[in-house]
Order: sequence, then C-alpha cells, then structure tokens
Amino acid sequence: MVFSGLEEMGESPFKYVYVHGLVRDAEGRKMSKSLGNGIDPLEIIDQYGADALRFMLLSGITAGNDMRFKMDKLESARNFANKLWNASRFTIMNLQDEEGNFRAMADGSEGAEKLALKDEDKWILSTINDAVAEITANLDKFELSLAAQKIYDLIWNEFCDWYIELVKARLYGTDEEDKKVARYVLVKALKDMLKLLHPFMPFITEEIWSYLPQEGNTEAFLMKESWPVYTEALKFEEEEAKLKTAMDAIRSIRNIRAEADAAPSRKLTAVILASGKEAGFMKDTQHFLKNIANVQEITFIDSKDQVPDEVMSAVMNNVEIYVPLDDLLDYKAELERLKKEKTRLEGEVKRTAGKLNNAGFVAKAPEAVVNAEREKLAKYEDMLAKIIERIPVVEAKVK
Amino acid sequence: MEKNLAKTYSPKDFEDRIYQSWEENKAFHAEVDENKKPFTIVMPPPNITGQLHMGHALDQTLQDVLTRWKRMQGYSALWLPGTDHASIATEVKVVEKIRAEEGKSKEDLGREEFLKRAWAWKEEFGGRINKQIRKLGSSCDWDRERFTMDEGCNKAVVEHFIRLYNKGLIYKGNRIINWCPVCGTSLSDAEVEHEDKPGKYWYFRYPAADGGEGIVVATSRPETMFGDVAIAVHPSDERYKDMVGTNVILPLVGREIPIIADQYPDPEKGTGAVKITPSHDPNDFEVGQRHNLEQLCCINPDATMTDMAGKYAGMDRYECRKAWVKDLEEAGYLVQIEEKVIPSGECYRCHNVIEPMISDQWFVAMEELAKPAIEVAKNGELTHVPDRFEKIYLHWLEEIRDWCTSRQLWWGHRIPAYYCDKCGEMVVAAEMPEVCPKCGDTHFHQDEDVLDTWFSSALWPFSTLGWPEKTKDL
Ligand SMILES: [Zn+2]
Ligand SMILES: [Zn+2]
Repeated sequence: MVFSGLEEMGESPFKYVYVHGLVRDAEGRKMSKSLGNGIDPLEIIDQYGADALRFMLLSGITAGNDMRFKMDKLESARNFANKLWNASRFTIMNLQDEEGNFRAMADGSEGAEKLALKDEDKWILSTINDAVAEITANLDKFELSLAAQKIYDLIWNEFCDWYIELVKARLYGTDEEDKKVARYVLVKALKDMLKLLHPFMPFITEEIWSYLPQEGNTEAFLMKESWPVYTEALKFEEEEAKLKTAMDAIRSIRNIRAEADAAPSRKLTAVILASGKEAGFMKDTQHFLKNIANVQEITFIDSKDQVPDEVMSAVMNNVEIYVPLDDLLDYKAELERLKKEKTRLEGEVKRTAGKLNNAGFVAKAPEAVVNAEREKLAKYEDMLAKIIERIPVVEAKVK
Repeated sequence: MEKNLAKTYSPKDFEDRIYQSWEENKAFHAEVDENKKPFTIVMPPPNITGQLHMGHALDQTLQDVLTRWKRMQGYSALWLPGTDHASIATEVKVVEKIRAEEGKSKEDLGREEFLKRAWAWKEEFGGRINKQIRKLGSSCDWDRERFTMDEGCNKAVVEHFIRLYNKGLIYKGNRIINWCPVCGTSLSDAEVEHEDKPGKYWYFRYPAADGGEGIVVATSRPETMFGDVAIAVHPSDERYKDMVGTNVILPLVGREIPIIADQYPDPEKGTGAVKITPSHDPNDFEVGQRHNLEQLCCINPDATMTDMAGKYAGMDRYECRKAWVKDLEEAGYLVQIEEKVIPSGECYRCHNVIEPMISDQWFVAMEELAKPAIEVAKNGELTHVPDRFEKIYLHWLEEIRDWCTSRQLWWGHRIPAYYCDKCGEMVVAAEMPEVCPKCGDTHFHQDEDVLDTWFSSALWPFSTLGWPEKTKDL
C-alpha cells in the first residue's frame, strides 16, 4: 500500500503503521478452526456485552505482541462495567428528588475551581485532571492498554471506592449550599470519567450519559462531546497530598480492625501523634475517620509519653495511629467465651483426675500412658488457673 | 423515559439500541471541515467471505478507540469501512456452491454467467461481516461504505495498472511463479504459507560423461530431475574444482549436463553440489538466467508429468516420484536417504503444496516502487508502532522480488490488456481498442486473467476517497 500511495500520490498514504499481534487462546495457541479453540466474538458479546469484550481485548495488548484470550480477564472487564453502572446509578439517585427531578446544583460554568470546594472535591478533580494528561499522553503514543488501565483505576479506586464514600455524608447533610457543590462535583467527575472511558467502552458510557443532567442540548451524544483537557486551574497538589494521608489513615485503621478481628460496626477511639504538614492534614480530615472508619473519638497528642497502655498501632509517614485494645476487643463476648472455657476445662480436669485416682488404671496401664495422663492433668489445671484469674479482669471491663 | 439506569447492568438491553440511535442520527458521518484537522482510518477491508473472528474484534476495537478519541479531540474523524472482494476465496466458495447445487463447473456456466452468480453471492452473504462489526460498536461512516470491486475502485485499479504499465513498471513475461495445481492459479509470494515438514533428501549419483565417478547430488523433489540442465558447485569448493566444465549424465535419462560454478550452492550443505532445474525452482531460475541455461518443463499445471518425463509422462507428481526413485535405486544410482525437516510452501487457500513453475504472467517491477517506500520509513514520514517492525518492513522491501499479480480466476478486476484477434498485438487500455495499431483489424479479446486482490487493496486508502478523481476528501 505504501508503495502504491507513493507512486500515485507522491506521499505515504499513512503516517503510522500500528502492528498488533494475534489473539491466542488461554494456552497461547493460535485460534483456528482445525484446533476448535476459536472463540466466537458474537457469542462473547451476547453473554458479556461488547464493552467488556473490547475492554478485555485492549487491556491485554501491547503493540506488536500476541495476546491471550482469558475468561477471567473478560469477567473482570464485566465486573468493572458493573461497578461503574452501580456507582452511576447511586450517583443519579442521590441527585434526584422523590419525583426523579434533578435537585439544584452549583453552577461551575465559570470554572469548578471558583466554587466553595471541599478538600475531597479538589482532590478528585485534581486526580481526574492528572489522569486526563496521562491518558492523553498514552493514547498519543498508541499505548492503548496503559490508557485503559489508568481509566480503570481512576473509576474503580478513586471514584467508586473513595470519592463516593467521602462525599456521602455531605449529600445527606444540612448545609444546602454545600450539597449543591457536592452534587456538582459528583456529576462533573462522573462526566469527565465517562468521556475518558468512552472510546474504550462506548455503549455503557453513552447509556449512563443519557441519564445525567445536561446543560443545553439534552439530545447530544457523549460520543460527540469534547475530550477533557488538562487545566492548571484544577491542579490541587496540597489537597492531593492531604487526601492521600487521610486515605492512608483510614486504611491503617481498617487493617488494625482486621488484625484484631473487630467488626466494622464496633466504634473505636484513636489517638494520633502527627508531625510536619501531616499534622494539619490529619486534623483537617479527621471527620473522614469518623464517617468512614467508624472512629468515634480522636485525640491528638504531642509526644509518645501520652500513648495509652495496651494499644494496637500503625505507622505512616509523620503519622502514628494508636487504637486502644479496650475498644477493639468485645469484652462481653470475651467473658462469655471465658466462662464456657472454664466449664470445659473443669470437666477435663475432673475426668483426667478420676482416671489417675483409679488404682487399677495406674497399676495396669503402661507407664508411658499413665505419664501422658499426668501431663494432661497438669496442663488443664494450668489453663484453668489462668482463666479463673482473667475472668474478674474482663468482668470489670464489661461493667 | 425512566429517570435512572436499570437496576442491573445488562448490556444486551441497550447496546443494539444505542448503536442504532448513533447510526440513525448520522453520528459517525464525517464531512470535510475546513476548521477541523482531518483524521482518517481506512479500514483494512475484511473479506466478503469472512465471519467475524477474534482477530477482527481486536482490529476493530483498536481502530474504533483511536477514531472515537480523535473525534472527541475535535478532529474531523473519518473511519471508512468496506469489504474486499477476496478474489480467490470468493471464487472457491462460489464454485463449491454451484457444484453442490447444480453439479456444474464454472466452465460449464461460462465466464459471464459465473460472474452473475458471484455477484448474487456477494449480495446475499457479503454484508454479513459488516453487521457483525456493528455489534462491536465500530463508529465507521457507513454512508461511505466501499467495495474493492465497486465502480470507483475498479476505475482506480485500471488507471493504476495503465500508469504503471506505461512507466514500464508492469510487464508480461515468462518467469518463475508459485503455482497452486489444485486452485489452478498463480500465487504471489505473500499468498504462499511456509511450514517446516518432515521429509526426505535423496542422494543420487550423476556419473561422469567420460566414465568417471561423477558427482553426488541431494534433492527433496526427485521428480524435477527430468528438468535438470546443470549441476552447480561453489567456485571455491576444492572438492569439485577440477570437475567444473566437464559433463555428467542424468541417470537413466542419459542426457548430458554440464557442471558449472556459481555463488548459489552452499558448500556446507549436502554434498555442496546442487542440481539446477530452472523451470521448477526460483533459485535455479536465477542461476539459469546467469548462465544462459535452457528451461525444461517436466511438470504440468495440473501437477502431472510432461513428456519430458519419458515413460512417467501423465503420472501425478508424487506417483512419479515413487516410481522414479524405485527405478533409480534398482539401477544403483541411489546413494543414501536422509530424513530431514524440509521447508514446504503451501497454497494459503487449499493448503496443497505449491509448485514453482515458469509461466506467462503479469508482474509488477518492485525495485523502483520499493525505493521511495524505504525512504519514507527511513526519514520518519512513516512510523511503525512498535518501531522494531520497521526493520521487518525494510527487510521485506529490500529483498522484494517482482510481484506476480495475474491470477487465473474470473472473480476480480480483469486485466485491462487486449489482444488483436488477427495479429496478436497487445494494447493496454481502459477500454477495448477499436482499431489494431499494427494491422488495422477491429477485433480484440481481453486478457483472461484477473488481478490479485492485493492490487486493489493496495490502492484502497485513496481509491476509497475518490482517486483518480481529484476530490476534496483526498
Ligand atoms: Zn490452492
Ligand atoms: Zn492486429
């Protein structure tokens, strides 16, 4: 083609030649009729949708290399679509009143940065703004799978897992002006992400778009919208760092809960020792710890000496978080368990002692067996003593 | 309308509806817009015989992501769809259909009637793949859908052919080509699939004409020996230095052939001496050209043996091989048999072993055409992604042989060459000439062959935009 173009047009008919490899099966074999390992794209579309197939095909490729067709990658592409769908549905629900009309929103047409944005608003707008620059750069270099991965992370992690959680309380709050801002940012964030995802998943993004509040022309297709452009006005470095610290703290508390096997519903208290600019970050974002990590009370301390006894701790950059064990442990349940254990051990002691008091058993049984029983008795007696000692301590905590 | 999304994500419920709405609203349509930069992808046209497979799905998705992204970036983005007439693939299908339904061959029907059936087949099945492409969400401009055999493309092909011919870049000649004996047509190098298969090398002794020992030569295709015209050795090969210029006898046939010195034989391979059969091997053909050797054809286009094969004439190539090897062995000429993996060239349509053959065909002279194509890659006007493919591209162009572009088929662009019924004078023209420039006769017949599919797909990027007319789309 190139030589025909040069001969007749005097220039190359293309500027770029993108070379992609074959789609292979999960074992890396070429798909072929004779092997019977071909997968019919139409069947996949029927079961998973075209968007999931497209996303799966793109996320696995790098230019010039073959890719493998794996069902788990397809499932994960569909799960992603599903996650976006549910998050969008939740968002729309929260924007509408009982009649399904959109509630009032702040007017960001002069630039979102001019609104009374909260830290988390600045953070999500700035994060999306960064992603716009990166994804555009990837596409410019034909790095389609990197671009796909970034938009996936942005939607799944930053938006669904974090922003929606962070903003929830405000949507149900009492500050009417702030509610309008929160709604505006939710819609703007979702719209920008739909634009970024559209080339990869055109159907689901167009469908969601059609339910979102539109300025002006309500019939307009998402596919005709303008690609987002990076803007310096939406770069909020400070808030990005602040929210990163807040999210690290929330993660740390979740980890502590998991280690202590404490249910998410248990209310905790936290003692925080922070320095540097992180000290300010933690103070500014402590309400997230309360709302999202279910921390009832937060105490900021200035030195290690103030750390209470019996705590679990997490260390982050310039931040130490301490959670008292008293909060983590469920003493009522513990007392219950101790009492049950006491009854069981008393039974064991009685049974073992009874055996050893039987002169016939001691005389007839082999010495090793008798010794084993004696050891058992000593062990049970020891465990029982510890439990008896512990019960009044826990009883005191329950009261 | 519902005011919120359905409770569960069910793509089946909306994907087709959305595509239809895009299409009805002409959302994919692109017009030349002075205020916008153009971005164009011309879809590599899928074959009309095709069924969407995973490779297409990936291909389509890549093109669609780029088109949608550029469109959103404000480019006048055009993705131009179409289908390829797929000369040989379609002809095979239509021939099969006629045979199954009517028990007739294409010759029974004649060219005109056969082409009618082929067009009917195209109307019925040709659009299938484009319906499937829509399912993927491809945002191509269906208003501009093209077909490699539509009027515009046909015009472009004829024009391009004539221009190349007038520049001397297309010529007709007897050259060695790839021949599929089953499909009954020539194939370009790109249409031959290479695969390594277990095979044998037979070592035969060609006794010296003066009664001496002679020379031992290995071959994987003994049936071509009837076309041998020389034995070649490397000029630096000490073993054979004294024998160059002497003659050996082709075993059992009795014909004397010379031992010649040429750069082609590899002293490290086999015995270092190779038989030269210009009619049935492309390398031997080149050696033959250099040494002005005769061309003796011993295999027919239908893979039976010619009269050159003496008592084996009329036998199938492989039957002949068996009988011939047996006879040579009994006569004491077989020295050894070596089991070896042998590169084998197969027809990409029917997977039968192709037979290199000298045949009167049309060729495109590639050397001249390749030069600027090499140049644009080297000077950066053309970029490969990833760039390591540039090497492959350059190697391919630097090694490229003249491209055999005529096919002994009916479904395709018929070659615009006309022969005078009376004197045989050939005229290359867009229309049938009225008067023979040589003898003044007024009766002509058109070349029977068609051009291979690649000839029209090579023009696709601009024939679809209106070339050879000067359109604003270009
Ligand atoms: Zn064939
Ligand atoms: Zn004439």
